[in-house]
Amino acid sequence: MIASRLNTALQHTDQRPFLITSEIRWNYAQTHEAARQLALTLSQSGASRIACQLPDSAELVLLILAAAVAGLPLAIMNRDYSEEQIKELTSELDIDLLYIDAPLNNNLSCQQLTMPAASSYDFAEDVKCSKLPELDAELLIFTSGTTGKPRCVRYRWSDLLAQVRDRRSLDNERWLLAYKLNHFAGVQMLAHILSSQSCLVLADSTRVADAVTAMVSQKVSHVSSTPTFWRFALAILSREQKLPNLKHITLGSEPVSAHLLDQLGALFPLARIVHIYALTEAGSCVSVSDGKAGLPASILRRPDHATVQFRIVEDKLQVKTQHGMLGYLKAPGSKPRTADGWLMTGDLVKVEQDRILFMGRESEVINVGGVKVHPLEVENIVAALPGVKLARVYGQGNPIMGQIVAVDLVLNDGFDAETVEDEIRTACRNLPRHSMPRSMTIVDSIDTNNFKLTRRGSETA
Amino acid sequence: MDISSDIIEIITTIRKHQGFREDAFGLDAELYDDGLGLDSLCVAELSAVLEKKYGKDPYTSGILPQTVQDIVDFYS
Repeated sequence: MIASRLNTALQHTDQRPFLITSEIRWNYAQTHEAARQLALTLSQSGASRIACQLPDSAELVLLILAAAVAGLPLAIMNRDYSEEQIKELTSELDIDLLYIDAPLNNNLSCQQLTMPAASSYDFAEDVKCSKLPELDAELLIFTSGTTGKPRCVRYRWSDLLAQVRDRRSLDNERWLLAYKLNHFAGVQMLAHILSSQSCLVLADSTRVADAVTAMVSQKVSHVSSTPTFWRFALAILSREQKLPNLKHITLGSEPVSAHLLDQLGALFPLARIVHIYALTEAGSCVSVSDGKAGLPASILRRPDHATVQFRIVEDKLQVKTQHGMLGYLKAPGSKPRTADGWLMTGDLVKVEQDRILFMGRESEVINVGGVKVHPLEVENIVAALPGVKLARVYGQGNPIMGQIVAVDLVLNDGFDAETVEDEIRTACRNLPRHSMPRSMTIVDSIDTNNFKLTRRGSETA
Repeated sequence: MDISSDIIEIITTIRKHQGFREDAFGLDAELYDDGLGLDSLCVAELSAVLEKKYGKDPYTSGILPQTVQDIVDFYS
């Protein structure tokens, strides 16, 4: 439980920094006290389920901790939800109290409150903390929705914390928040930081440029984010005079290519580079640090009592975990698990040379005249070319083949479209003909959601 | 460049992508099989390129042009 992690931290490291932004710097004792005060307010409000729509901020971190300490379920809503969606969700999820940063115009069925600014907390010089009651609570997180409508996933904090190692870091780790806190990966980072008594650094915004600035200015040592984030960050870092002194890099939420691992290894030769396979529904399943793309096939041979097991059924990866979600909220028709408890991940894979390689999502497969094409296979080739900053491969509706392979491209500075397109054709020459990109479009940017590429192809013609 | 030259250039480029010899051809050239040899994947690409360039293409409109001239006529 969150309170137990805060209580434990106080025994060893009450003066150790926990939260750093450009405005505040809280140690564990101050965080403990602020969470206690807000938890008391929440308990006294009489609310039985609360929600928030807040930017990634010290206030949001505090609310997450306080709700958990108070034993209250908290739904963290995405920042891009419209007022109408908020109205629907608060009603659908039986929310009593909603924390927002600006009042909403819609008449909601619940009370609205704004969070006091973290900078307004006035702590005594030597904060005296009493032990917090160790309650379990639910956290309601929404799936990223990169391939469809987001779903509300129910977790218990005890399960979230069971997925991370409960061990104090001796290294004074400073982690940059490079996931959004309204997504599972962001919450999991918070759980990891509390469990290792490390420090969380928040950048001034969720822009990659601000994240890179914070890496240097706040002496960040550890960063966890998506491959898409790292592709943007690498483009910025390649122009920087001063590089952050990173000791640890984690990649997750999207498949990782060998090319990206090589690029990061070259720029940060002293950093330990890890990639994680995790799902909102299952939590963190496995981490890999051998510098290769994909997962070792040995995980398919894990014993029945393993915390997380893997299997492949009809080219699709399934996982069984002891500490996954409780289920989807208000989605009675959803059946993410098989009758024997395996979670269907929707990830298409193949095993090659004792390695599980990701081919893309089941829902993203491109059907070119009846031949299945996995976008990731093409995307990995295209994204590795020097002129390509970012690429998104998807199925484009076509009257002849049903779909064709299409690519949106963001080019690196100094490269012209015609040359890059020719290079793509050359690089893809060894692919089957159906997999060759038939339409290439140069774009200024590609939509991302929580630093993941959004992958909605056009409909079949 | 007029539309005829544009269409010929587009088809030439698609044929080049497929490794065809860069033989010159005229408006009366047959598009498929023994003519210019465009198969279904080439035609799919041609349809996508025309749609992108002109905002519409004969294939999406349900027309199956037989010659280069048929495509030019569609835009005339």
